[in-house]
Amino acid sequence: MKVRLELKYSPTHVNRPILARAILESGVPVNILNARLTASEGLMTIEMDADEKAVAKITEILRSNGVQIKEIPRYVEIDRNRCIDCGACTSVCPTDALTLSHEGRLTVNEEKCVLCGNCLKACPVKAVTLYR
Amino acid sequence: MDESLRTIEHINDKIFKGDVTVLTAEEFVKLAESSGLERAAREVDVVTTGTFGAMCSSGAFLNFGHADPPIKMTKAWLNDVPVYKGLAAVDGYIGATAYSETRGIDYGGGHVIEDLVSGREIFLRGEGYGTDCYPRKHVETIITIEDLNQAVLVNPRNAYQRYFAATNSSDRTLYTYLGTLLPNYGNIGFSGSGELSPLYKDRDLETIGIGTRIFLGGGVGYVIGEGTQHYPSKYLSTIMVAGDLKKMSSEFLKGATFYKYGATLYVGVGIPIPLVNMNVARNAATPDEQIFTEIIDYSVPSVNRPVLRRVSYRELKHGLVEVNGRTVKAASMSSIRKAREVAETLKKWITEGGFLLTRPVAPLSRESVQKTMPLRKHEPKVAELMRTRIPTARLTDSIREVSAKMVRENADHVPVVDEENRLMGIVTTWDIAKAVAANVERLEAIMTRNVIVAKPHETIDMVAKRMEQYDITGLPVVDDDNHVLGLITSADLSRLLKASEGGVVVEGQA
Repeated sequence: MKVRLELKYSPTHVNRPILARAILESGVPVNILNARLTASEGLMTIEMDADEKAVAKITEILRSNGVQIKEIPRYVEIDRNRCIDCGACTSVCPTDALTLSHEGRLTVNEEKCVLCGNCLKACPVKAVTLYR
Repeated sequence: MDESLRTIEHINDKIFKGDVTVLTAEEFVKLAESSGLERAAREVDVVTTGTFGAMCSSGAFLNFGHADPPIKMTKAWLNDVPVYKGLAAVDGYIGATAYSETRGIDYGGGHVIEDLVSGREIFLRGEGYGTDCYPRKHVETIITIEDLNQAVLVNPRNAYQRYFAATNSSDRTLYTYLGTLLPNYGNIGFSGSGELSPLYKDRDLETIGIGTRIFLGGGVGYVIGEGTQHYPSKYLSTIMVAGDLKKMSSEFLKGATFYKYGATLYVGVGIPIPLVNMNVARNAATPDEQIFTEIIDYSVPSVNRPVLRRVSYRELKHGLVEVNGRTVKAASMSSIRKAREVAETLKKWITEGGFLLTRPVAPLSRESVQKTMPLRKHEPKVAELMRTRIPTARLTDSIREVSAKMVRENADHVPVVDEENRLMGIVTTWDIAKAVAANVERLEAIMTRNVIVAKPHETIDMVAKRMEQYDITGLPVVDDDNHVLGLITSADLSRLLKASEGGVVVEGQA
C-alpha cells in the first residue's frame, strides 16, 4: 500500500530528529518528497510503501512526538476546462507522471508524481493543481 | 502548370448542393497513403487544416463608445492591463503580451481577450487631458464585450508555417517562449501542428491569399495580408488575420503565461485548402515525416543561434528525440488535440453548408524576407572597457605570492593562466581570505575552475546581465582560444554609467 502523508511540525520541534527516529523504530523505509520550513511551521511530504500495520506504527510514533499528520489522497489535478493538451508539462516531468497519450491527451499517473512542481511553472494556462 | 482539378466556384456549388467532400489534413494524408495521391486528389474537394498555438502577435481593436460627458482617453487599462491609446477618443488596441500593472505577467492582454470573449465583466479605467469637445479627464466603469461597439481581433502575425524546435546546451534552466528548457540538452520545446499546419499544407501559397476566409478563434476571419516576418523561401510564411471577436469563442482563444517569459494568447486558426490542382493536392498530402524543422540551441544569446540538427514533425510529435547523442523528451507548446478540433470544426462548417470558400483578391508575397534590426548607434563593447594590464597567476604560485600581487596591483580578481596565457581558473580576494582561514597553501585548492568569462565583442549589457545572473563582480575577457585578453569588473561598468550620467557618452573608436 502506497501512502502519502503531510507532516506538520511545530517550530519548537524542527530541530529534533523525529522522522529519523520514527523510521528507525518502525523499520519502514520512507521517501521524503518535499520539505519546507517557515517561521511558523515545518512541513514535510513523505511517501511509503508499507502495510497498514507499519503505517499505523510510524504515524503513532510521529503523533506522540507532536507531529500533525494529514493523509494526501490526491497529488495532482488537471483542470480539464483549462488544459489544452499541449504537453508543455510532460517534458519537464522527471517521473513520467504526466504524459501525452497517442491521441494527444494529457494523461496523469498520480502514483508516479513526486510533487516536484515543475509542471506548475511549465503550464501556460495554469491548469495544474498540486496537493502538497 | 500543374493539372487543374476543380475551381473554387465548382466547390462552392457542391457546398450549396450538400455533396462536397471535405477531409481534415490528417485524414487526407492517410487517404493519399492508402489510395494513392491521384485518386485522393480526385475524390476530395477541400482539405481543412488547423493550428492552436501561442501567438504573441495578436490583439484586438475595441471601441468603447462615448461616455457622457465624453472623454478622449489618452491612456486606458482593462483589468489593469494597458491598452494602446494612440488612436481616436474611445478606440484602443489590446495586445496579447501587454501585462497587468498590478498582477504582472500572470495576467495579460491575452487573458483580457479570453475574458472578453467569455462575456466576463472587465474593469475599464481611462485618463485624458480634457479638451473643449472632450471635457472629461477620468473614467472608471465595468464593461462586457456586449457594451463594445466593435471588438475586432486583428493579429499581425499568426499561423507560422512551421517553427524552430529549441533545446539548451547551458548548465542552467532557461524559460523561453518554447517553454522550460532543461540544462545540458535536457529536453526540447517545439510548436506548430506539422501535417495539420494551415500554411504548410499550401506551402507554395497557391490558394491562400488576401481575402481568404478562415476559421479564427472559433469564429470566421479573413487573411488581410502577409504576416510580419513572412519569409516564404524558408517555409516560414505567416499571415495577418482579422475577424469579429464578438463571434469567437474562449474554446479557441486562451490567455496564457509562459513562466518568466510573458503573457500571450493561444489562437486557433484553420484554413480550408481547395484542391484546385495536383500541386496543391500533393502539398496538402505531405505527412509529418516529410515536414522538417531545425533544433536550435537557445542558450546562445544571439539571433544567429546554432542549428544542432534537422528534425521531422513525426519525431517531435512522437515525443522522444535524439540530440547530442542522447534521447530526450520533446514537448509541444501548441496543442495537436486542439489543432485537430479546429480542422474538424471547419470541416463540419463546410460540409453543413455554412462556410463558403473564397478566391483570394491578391496573392501573398513570395519574395518577402525577414531582416534583422540594424544597430547604427554605437553600443559600448567589452573590448573598449576592459582593462588589459592586469595581474595573472600561475598554478605553481603560492597563495602568498598571489596575495602580494593583489595588494601591489590593487586587484580583486586574478586569472590563473597556463604557459600560453590560456585561462585555467580565477582567484579573488575572497578566495584568499578563505585560504587563510582554512590554512590552505596551494592556489590550486582555492581557485575557481569553472570561470564565467566575457568575449571582447560582447556588449556591456550582456556582461552586466551575466554578472547579475551568477552574482559575480569580475569576468576575465578571453578570445576564442581561451587566451586571456583582459578583465572587466562591475567597477568598470559603474565608471561607464557615471560617465553617461554626467552627459559624457562613451563613444567608441570603432
